[in-house]
Amino acid sequence: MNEDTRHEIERLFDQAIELPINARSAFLDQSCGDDEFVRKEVVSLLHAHDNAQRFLHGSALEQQPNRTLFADPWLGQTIGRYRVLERIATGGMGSVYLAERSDHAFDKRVAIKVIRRGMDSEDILARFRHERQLLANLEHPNIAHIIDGGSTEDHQPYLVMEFVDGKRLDEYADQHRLTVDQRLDLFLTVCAAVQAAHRNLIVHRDLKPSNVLVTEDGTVKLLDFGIAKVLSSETLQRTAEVTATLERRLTPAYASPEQIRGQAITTSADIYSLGVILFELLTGQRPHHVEHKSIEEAGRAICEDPPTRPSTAVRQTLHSEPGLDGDSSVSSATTPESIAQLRSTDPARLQRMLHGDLENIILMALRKEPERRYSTVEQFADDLRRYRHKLPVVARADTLRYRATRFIQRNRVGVAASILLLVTLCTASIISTLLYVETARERDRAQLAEQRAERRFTEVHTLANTMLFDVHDHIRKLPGSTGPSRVIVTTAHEYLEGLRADALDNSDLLIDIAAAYRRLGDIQGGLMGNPGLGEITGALASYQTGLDIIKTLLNDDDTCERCRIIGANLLMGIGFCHDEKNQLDVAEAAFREGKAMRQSVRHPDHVHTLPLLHTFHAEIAKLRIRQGSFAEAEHKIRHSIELTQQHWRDHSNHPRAAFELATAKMMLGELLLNLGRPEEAEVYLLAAVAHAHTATELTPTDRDNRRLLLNVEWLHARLITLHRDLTAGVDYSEQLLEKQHALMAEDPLDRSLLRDIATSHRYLGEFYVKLDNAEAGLSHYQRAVEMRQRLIQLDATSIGRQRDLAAAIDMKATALWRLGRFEEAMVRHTDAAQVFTQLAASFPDDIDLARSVAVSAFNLGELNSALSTREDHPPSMQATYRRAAAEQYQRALEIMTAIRDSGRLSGNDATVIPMLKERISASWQSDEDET
Amino acid sequence: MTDPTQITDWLTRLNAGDRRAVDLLLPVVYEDLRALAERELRNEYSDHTLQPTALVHETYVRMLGQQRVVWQNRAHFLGVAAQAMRRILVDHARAKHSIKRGGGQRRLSLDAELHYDETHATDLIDLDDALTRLANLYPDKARVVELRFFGGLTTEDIAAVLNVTTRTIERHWHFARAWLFRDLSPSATDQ
Repeated sequence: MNEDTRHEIERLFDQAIELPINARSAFLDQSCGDDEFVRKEVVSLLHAHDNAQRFLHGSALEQQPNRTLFADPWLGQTIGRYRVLERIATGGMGSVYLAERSDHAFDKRVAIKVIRRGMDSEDILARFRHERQLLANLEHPNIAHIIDGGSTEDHQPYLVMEFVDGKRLDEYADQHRLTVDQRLDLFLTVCAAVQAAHRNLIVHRDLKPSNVLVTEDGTVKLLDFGIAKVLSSETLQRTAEVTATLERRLTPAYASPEQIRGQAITTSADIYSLGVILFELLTGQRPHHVEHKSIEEAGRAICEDPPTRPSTAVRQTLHSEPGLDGDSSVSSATTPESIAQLRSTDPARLQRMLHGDLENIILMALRKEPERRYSTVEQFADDLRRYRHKLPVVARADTLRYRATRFIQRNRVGVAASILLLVTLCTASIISTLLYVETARERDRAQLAEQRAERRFTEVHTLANTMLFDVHDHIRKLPGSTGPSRVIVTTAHEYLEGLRADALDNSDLLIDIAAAYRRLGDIQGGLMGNPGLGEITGALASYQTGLDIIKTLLNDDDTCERCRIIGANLLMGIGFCHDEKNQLDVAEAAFREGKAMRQSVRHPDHVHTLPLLHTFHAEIAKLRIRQGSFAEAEHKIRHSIELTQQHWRDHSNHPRAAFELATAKMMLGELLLNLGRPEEAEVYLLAAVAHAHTATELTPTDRDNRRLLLNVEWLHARLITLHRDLTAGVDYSEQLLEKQHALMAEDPLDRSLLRDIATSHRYLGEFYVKLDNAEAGLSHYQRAVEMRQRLIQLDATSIGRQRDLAAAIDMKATALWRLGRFEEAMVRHTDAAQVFTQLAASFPDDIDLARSVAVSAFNLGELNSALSTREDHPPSMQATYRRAAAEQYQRALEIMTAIRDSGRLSGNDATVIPMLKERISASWQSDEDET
Repeated sequence: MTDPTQITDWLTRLNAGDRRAVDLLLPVVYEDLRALAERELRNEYSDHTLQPTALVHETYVRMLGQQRVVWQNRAHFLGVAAQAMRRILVDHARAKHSIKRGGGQRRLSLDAELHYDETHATDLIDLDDALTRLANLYPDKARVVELRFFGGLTTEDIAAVLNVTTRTIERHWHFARAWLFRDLSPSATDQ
């Protein structure tokens, strides 16, 4: 081929491609004359030209794993009943094509995903058939559904999906310059779709912006649901290579740490990916910069490095990020201005919006440990909605706690020593910072220096507070945490003392110190649900110190709202301590003072305020019950119900409000049940069950809610057993006990639940004894005693726990003597009676204790009475038992009469006095009969 | 790294028509570009499409630093870089191909990180051969493919490198693409 021929071919080709296809032939006829070689060359080149539109598209370096340099083999071909029109995308798992029904049965366009060659198609198809049943249920307006699937003639598996003509979520948002609020709306729609899938037990596993499309009319569609699962089934994972390929083909920027590590994938992985998507949607950046990193580096960053804070991300400028536009040779820099502009705002405003709640929500979804993220997408979405409605959100910043946790996890040995070191470090740096502030002021340095010092001061004292207490919050759940707790308490105490001396007139710091004393008191006392150390006296001293500080501060400035809130909390703690020490009057005074302080907080309808206020009412009501002032207690509880009902109306659907309402109604139900008014009681108990259900539904994982629900149901079970149907009631109770044990298994260290379960066993013991099944009764009582003993080992100073243990032992004895084990029963009854008598002598105001003494005396009476009727005893012995019985009955009668005379007898006990009188006279009667 | 003034000097010579300067420039550019390309290829998780242009520009900035260079020099540099890029990719493909054929002893650690599958590797080698054949017949057209496909250069940049109009570049491209497609199509060899 000479040069002229080459040029001729080139010239004719250049001209021909400008012509419509059907005009080319005529053009060549005319131009080529009879040079068949040239004509043939040009025709074949033109033919190649027409087929080479996608050939050498883009550039050699483009990362398209499945791309070949040639025209796509599927274009124009038929797959199943569909004709392939064009390639939409190429991804890790294969290529996606736009196709239409070849038989034109419907004018329907579909997307076909042809799975990459090299995977075992038999396995995939088997898996696919299995999954398809699940996927078929996934009919959701925001999820592109799967229509069909099969394998091509050369055994390449494919999936036919609804075709979505839309833009990537992030591109759509940027293009329309959507504001943060509008972006959140879009994102909530995405959440709803993912939530629907999770309800059908389908995890997406590969959520990323390119799998979330938005159509021009703004409809969100999620793609590829369940596909990752189909493609990474266990059957497939038999071949390591395929797995490696697959796993690498996940997009790590959106993959959760557990996916990177190859651990079990749950719905939580999707929550993480949603977190990354939201992060990027709001900030234009990713939480981890994995670009330009090796797989190992990227994986390590995702598994270990804390994510960038969203409010920090929007301040950063990212240079030399190659533009996404394939043909652009310009490196586009992402600047705070450009990010804000795309969100129709300015950098400062955007940063303010992200800072705080919104940021905490995102970071909670991005936590490394699946169990520390939101447990459901619904919760994630709910928190975003709460943010939108300016309600308090569940998510909390926890960087420090997180770091402390990680620290502890890595260094379980010597935790105590490490914490001691940490605390000492904090103390030292606070003091040195304070000195620094002082020095800076003295020298009257430039304002800058002072600002810097102030800032550092703030940081350090936040650090100290968080470290000191959050570390404790965390370790208290570890087995054997009592030792470290004690170290913390001792060190914290010294530290707070020192800090207080240094704080001088820095009121902000003093408020923090008072708050710290409150936390310290909580740890020492183990009150308010804290397992704690049970050091009531130490706790009381800490609360008191905190309160002194608050009172001094309020003296100087009575407008300090925070002081009042902390003060009220301190007084609540003081009340609890006195309550625990059975100093009921002092406790009541503290509760009243606390209530007054709480009421003086200027925004009493604030969502945080009311539950506490209600608690004051409830606590005072409980004191009244102990004192035997039932009418007043009832009145107070009813008032407390009104308060919580108001709160529920104002914050409907707030789980905490439902919880408080359930608690208040349960208290009234319990009181009415104990007062012998079961019909009225049932109304409140059923209402309480309903509210507790609501609370549990709103936050299904909240243990407090689940515990509450079980407690309310237990009261109802008691009501049924005692007043309706003994057998049905026992069945119900057994079911509830089983649920309680299941809850306990989730957290074996939950001491409050342990107390609940001990009570349950005691009741079941009572029910079985009533059913004349003393054997079963005894085993329940035995469990109750064991649990009470464990509880008292944890806190020997608690009067309440001593009483509970004695009561359990007393009840166990009743089952023992019904089984004929009289001597054992006698020893136990006597022991219990002694404990009650001692306690009652120490706390004469406590009507409950007095009543317990009477009950134990009555039980001893019953036992002696039973012994007196035994025929293997000689008559003289029988008479002795009878006299002993009469004495015990007499003792019980005296106590109950005294209670009645002071007007503190409950309705249930009304029948006790006549019954005792009857037993006494019966005893004397028999005695007289003998003589 | 080579002194930026040295590189500017070579580029100036190249601009003046001294083709030998390419032989001096190419190994230097090749080395730098290869390092960058490997980094990029390793980063397979990058959600972006890899931009050869970005790599070439980065090499350019790295090698020339803050030197003021004339536009023509930049174009020549891009041209050399595209040539280097072609060699890098084809060398890589050949290496990969021979490893593959070598059987069991795959160096998984490195190869697993590269996105090119076997087909792609063969394709690149075949393309390289075809491109060489094309260069024998239509050197300018082959050069356009090298600059565009391997170098990732825009039509404007290619026009600057070859000192012709963008219209000409478009014509070259269409022809070259069709020619290579025909050359590499199995059906064509059947004929």
